[in-house]
Amino acid sequence: MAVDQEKFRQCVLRALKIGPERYRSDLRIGDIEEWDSVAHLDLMAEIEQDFGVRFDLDEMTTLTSLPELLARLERGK
Amino acid sequence: MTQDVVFLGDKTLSLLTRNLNSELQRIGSRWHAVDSGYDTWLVAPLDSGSMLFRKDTAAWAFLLSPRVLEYVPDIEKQVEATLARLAGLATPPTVLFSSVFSDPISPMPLSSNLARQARAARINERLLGFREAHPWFHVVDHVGLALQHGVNNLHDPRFEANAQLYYSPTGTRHLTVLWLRALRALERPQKKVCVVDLDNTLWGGILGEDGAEGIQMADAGAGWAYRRFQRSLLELRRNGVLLAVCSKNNSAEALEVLQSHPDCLLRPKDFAHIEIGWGLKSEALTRTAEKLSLGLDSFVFIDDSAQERDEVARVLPSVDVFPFPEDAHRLSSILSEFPGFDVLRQTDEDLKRADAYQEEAQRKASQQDAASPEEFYRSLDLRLDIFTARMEQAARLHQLVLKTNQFNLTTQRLSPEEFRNLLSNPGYAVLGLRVADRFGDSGITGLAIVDKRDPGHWFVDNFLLSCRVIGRTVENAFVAWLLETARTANAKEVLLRFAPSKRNEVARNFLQASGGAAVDAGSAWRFDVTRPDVLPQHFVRIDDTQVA
Repeated sequence: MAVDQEKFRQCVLRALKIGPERYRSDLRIGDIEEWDSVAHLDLMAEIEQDFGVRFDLDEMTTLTSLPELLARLERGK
Repeated sequence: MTQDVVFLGDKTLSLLTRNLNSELQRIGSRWHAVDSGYDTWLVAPLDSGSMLFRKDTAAWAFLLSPRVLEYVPDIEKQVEATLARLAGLATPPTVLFSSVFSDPISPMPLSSNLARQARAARINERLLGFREAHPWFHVVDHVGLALQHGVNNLHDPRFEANAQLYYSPTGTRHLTVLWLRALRALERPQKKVCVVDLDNTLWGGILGEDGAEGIQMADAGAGWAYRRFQRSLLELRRNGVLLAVCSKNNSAEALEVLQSHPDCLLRPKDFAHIEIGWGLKSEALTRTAEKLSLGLDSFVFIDDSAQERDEVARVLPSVDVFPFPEDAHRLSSILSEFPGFDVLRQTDEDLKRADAYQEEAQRKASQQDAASPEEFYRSLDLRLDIFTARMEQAARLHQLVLKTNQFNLTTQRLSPEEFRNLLSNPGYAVLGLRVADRFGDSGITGLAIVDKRDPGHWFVDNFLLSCRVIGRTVENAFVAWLLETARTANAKEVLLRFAPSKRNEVARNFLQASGGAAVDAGSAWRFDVTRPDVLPQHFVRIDDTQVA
């Protein structure tokens, strides 16, 4: 399933509370100070809401980079 | 300059403090939220080395999740012990304490929930009782939060499992809004005046087209939303917000509806001022502000017409324009979400304020009858109570510090903690003023902070009076009393500090006519205690038996 890349980017910016200049498509948790374990929880919730998916507990702790998250969304719900 | 509010709870609150800080920063608040870590609420207040006792910490926020009702043995006793610990502190900080609700998701929802709810209710009642006795203690309504959003929208088991969050990220968003409002209410004065339009605002329909029989404000059908809105306005009025009308209408016709329409709950006497005519609304609002002696920045304007809202917003940017909904049925909920009237506790003076403006109208009528100002002042039978401020009056007095703009000599907005510290500082006299006359009792409407650390020279750091009591020679009476009191205490002179602001022209005029001498380029006005004769005459009986 194709993922709307712009929608994904906007969702990440909003959840991590960062400006577009801080965004990189290969970001992973800890790369920037704004993406810490607390912000990660918000990111999970925002992506679930925007893309209609539901992560299980395991995914919440292992999907820790934007490429992994995108790949997961492409696999569908 | 920022001040810290430290969050304590039984669960993790780091997501809340993160979101709060991002919002607080965005709106330019002085508050900075600090997370004290997981399950700290019982231990941290006992530890004098904890972050609670740091210099920058101005407030503590206790946020108890429903889990305390399930996991903490003797939760009622634990809450009681925490309150006792707070009451025992030499200088208590500002404390915000969440009310408690019970999580209805349980194995025996038909039975065990009721007992848990009853326990929560007992705790909440205790919190309210404690709040009555302690002006620095506030309760934040988590029960309302739970009822409005529901536990299914506040909690998500995955996040509690993963991160010890009771409030899910979605729930934390709702929680953030509530706590943001609570923290803002501590630092920002409440709006004082609510100005409403009539057609399609106070009632449905247009009077000029539909006629008095055609407009809608009955208790059912098309009028229900408007009737409900009128009830909300009456509740605001009971809680000290002044109501005013600003409408483009035929004046006689619209007044007739307000006076005698059987479905109209609000009557002319409920409004502190009424403007009905065909001129610009910005001009009508300006006249209303002059009439009530209140600044436009304390006004909220409610009008269904986007053009009128736009005109007011453009011409009078300091007026808070209410986001009127497309659908009138949303009026009450939007009003509930609107933070302008937020206040964490009401003082007696708030509850009397709307009536006080009616008394003022009678006073003005009597002034027009009097032959001279002196005769008018004498006829008022003015009384001024001066008293040493006690801790239980701190909430009201501090409200004056935040709200008073016009007769405010230095406009120094002390924080609640700074203010309470002054009350217990032996070098200062913090004096409250209460004014009464034959038309009514204004309650606590004035304050003076006197720095007596130099026994020979008393510095009045601030002197302020609510606009409801100025212009009746009360201000002169207070200065006369202070000179006499200073003379008895062997002081030589009294200096009133002054700092000009955009709004305190009234205070400057008072000083210029006071008989004192400007010193240090007008930053203070000096009075010789042996020369009370330079002061303007006053017509006030003074009672200072409550001065320590």
